[in-house]
Amino acid sequence: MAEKLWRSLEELRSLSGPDAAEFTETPLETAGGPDRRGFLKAVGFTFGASMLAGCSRTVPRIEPNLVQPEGFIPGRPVYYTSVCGGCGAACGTLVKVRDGRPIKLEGNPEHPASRGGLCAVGQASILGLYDSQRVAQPLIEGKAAGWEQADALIRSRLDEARKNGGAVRLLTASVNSPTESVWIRRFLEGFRNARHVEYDALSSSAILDAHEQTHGARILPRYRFDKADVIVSIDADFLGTWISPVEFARGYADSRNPQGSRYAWHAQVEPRMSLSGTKADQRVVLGPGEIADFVTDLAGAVRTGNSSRAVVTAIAGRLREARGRSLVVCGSQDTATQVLVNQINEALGNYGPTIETDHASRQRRGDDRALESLIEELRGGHVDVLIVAGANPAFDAPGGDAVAKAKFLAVHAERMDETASKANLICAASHTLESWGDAEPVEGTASIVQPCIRPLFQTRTLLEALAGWSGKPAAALDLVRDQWQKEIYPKAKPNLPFDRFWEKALQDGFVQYEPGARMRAAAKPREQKEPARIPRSEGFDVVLYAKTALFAGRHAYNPWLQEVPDPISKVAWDNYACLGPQAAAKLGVKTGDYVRVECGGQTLDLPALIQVGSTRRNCRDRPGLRQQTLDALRQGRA
Amino acid sequence: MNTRIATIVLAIGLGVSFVLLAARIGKLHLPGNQQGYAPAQPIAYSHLLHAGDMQIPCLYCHYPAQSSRHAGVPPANLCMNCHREVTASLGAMHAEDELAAKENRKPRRVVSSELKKLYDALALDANLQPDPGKEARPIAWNRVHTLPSFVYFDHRAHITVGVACQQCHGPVETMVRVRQFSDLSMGWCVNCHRQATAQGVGGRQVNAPVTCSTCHF
Ligand code: SF4
Repeated sequence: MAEKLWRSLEELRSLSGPDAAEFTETPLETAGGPDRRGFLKAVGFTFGASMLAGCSRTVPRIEPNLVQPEGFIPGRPVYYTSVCGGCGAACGTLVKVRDGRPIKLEGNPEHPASRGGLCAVGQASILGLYDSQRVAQPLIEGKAAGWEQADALIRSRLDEARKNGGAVRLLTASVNSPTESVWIRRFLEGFRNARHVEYDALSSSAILDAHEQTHGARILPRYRFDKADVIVSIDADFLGTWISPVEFARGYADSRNPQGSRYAWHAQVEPRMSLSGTKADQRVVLGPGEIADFVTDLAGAVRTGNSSRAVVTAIAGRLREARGRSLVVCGSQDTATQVLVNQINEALGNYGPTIETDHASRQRRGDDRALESLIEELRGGHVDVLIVAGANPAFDAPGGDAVAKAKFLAVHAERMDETASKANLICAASHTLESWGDAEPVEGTASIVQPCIRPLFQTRTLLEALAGWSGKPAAALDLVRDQWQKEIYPKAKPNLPFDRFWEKALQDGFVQYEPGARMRAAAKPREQKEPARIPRSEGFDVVLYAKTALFAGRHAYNPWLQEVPDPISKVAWDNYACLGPQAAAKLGVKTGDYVRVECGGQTLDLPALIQVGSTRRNCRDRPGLRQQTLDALRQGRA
Repeated sequence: MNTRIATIVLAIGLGVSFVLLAARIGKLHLPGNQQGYAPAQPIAYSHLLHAGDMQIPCLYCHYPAQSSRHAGVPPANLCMNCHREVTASLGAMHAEDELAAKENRKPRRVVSSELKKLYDALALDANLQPDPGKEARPIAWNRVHTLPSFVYFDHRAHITVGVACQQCHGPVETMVRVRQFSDLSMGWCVNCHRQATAQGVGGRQVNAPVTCSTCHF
């Protein structure tokens, strides 16, 4: 008989016997609600009130264009290509615009990286445009001001720093826009002591650092899941939240097409059940403290073919059979572990076929060490002007509260977040759908960010702000066009005049060109360090992870995303702590009980959720999360 | 005794209110039904004059109805196709012409008070040239026919198959001020769809669907 499959612990229980019926048999009265008469009274009142309410007549209005643009037909949508601003992955979008308003985002099927995909965050990002809580104009010390005043204020601070050699720091999320990079450089050139720091709330800094050691360039390679036949992911949820989930999911689907010629084998090593883990052929449940050991073992086994652990030997065997067709990815934040992963991939000959370094990714460029030293500087009060753009360090960077220690803090932000509320000056930022800009998610593939509506409020893009502060104010469109004409047009070498090239790039949503090969050094790290080992403790391990629909919480304002049930836990809205069934039984905790999580000197009271680690057959003998593992989640504004 | 009087008073009261109600019963609507709604518009535009007397076809102004879900209110520049020349009623313009001929001068431009609103919206000066000193401002018409947002209605299909505008909108060419003619209820839609499928439209066989997802999706 076919094995009964189950999707939740409740279902498993009901499969093994009638239990926990969906509907309770208890009569309503005993539930502490109103009695029958009270209920009828209330119903009568509500019904009457709703009838009365329905009688009022709202007067909707129609305001037609005074002069209709030719070809414009009210009610008929028009589609424009643009770029998703939801995260650094820069997926290509098609924006449906009806009667002058963007109403829906879809993936651009022609886009070479995202290929028609758009994740939940991207889909929902349109709501941010119409968010009534956006910052509608510049604010000086919390008070509404005009752009002239704001510019005068920041200019005077910058001039002072220029004269006295004061420290100017620009803190942003990863910048994937070529034009923005150029203007950041130009802006900072004028100062003696200026630095640009990039960081990512979901950091991949260790991967970049590891490549600096092994390949001599601090880059994030482009992972080609579409070309891999054996995929080993070590704590990297590449289908959910890791680096560029849409692009990776697309590639993964290509590699695992049941109707296609090949079906890639996938092993997932992880401490919690992730979206990628649910799809794996083999899933290895390891605590966060065991990941480093696993990678060390795997590196040895890939070299020699043997390991003391059978599971490692088996995975290494698969990898060795698929040299040049395999891919090992790792989400660890430890550089030494990532160096080992690079060595594994190098030994397997994956650099080139499945890991591209000469079309490197610009999706994550954050540098944790640079962030740390900036926080140190801030704590010491050594920063005169700090400009934060497109990031919320006070919420998502460790020690990020220190931004308030800058002598002058300017924040370029769309809404009043934790960082903006500490700022001396808030520069109201435009939404992506209101902005001209560009993005280059992977080297050699660039897209234009095309606005689909005029700015709703008195807002600016970062590009315009930077150009203004550099003393060369210009419209973002001119800045982008100029940059494309100078840099990208010669590289793309189209047989077209620039105007036509620009139009075509807007129509297609992207251009492709050869970025020029990168020097490849041998995979010899300059210094070989032992992977950092997380000390074993008697208590639980806390695993913080990004939720599929909220990432690191940047979009927590968005109710659509809060409403999306997590694909694994099926919970919407709240924060919760996942516990394996065995751990929960040991503690005597049920789903819904509150548990207090203490970690690193912080405490958080969270409802518990009993979450199994795996439902796959090969994990049947361990149908739970590791006993010592507790997943806590910091999803929104906890 | 007292109770008897009270009962009589109550019975009479009840009767009177029934009589009063009965007189108005035809005017009572379910909530959401706006049949007969005829709001005043910012410009007293007369369909009787334009569609009736002048016999301008409906689709001249409401051209999106052929190619979009909305019939729409025409943009002001469409009005200007005629109203660049016609600035007041025919009578007023003729009177001015005659007066000018009598006084032996060139006729002055007479502008009716309603058309003045149109020119003001477009920020035009007395010579109907753009006036940079004025601010153009869209005309906020009051919407007469409104469907709830959970209903998808598309003019295109109806126009293409040849349903006359009047079938749903009534004799608009006789209305000085547009009034909602039908109740636009679901029953009304479905009845017409059934009838159209059974009898065809304009002698043509049609398939007007009555599945839920035709309008609600
Ligand atoms: S991964 Fe999602 S949020 Fe990020 S760019 Fe792509 S669609 Fe947007």
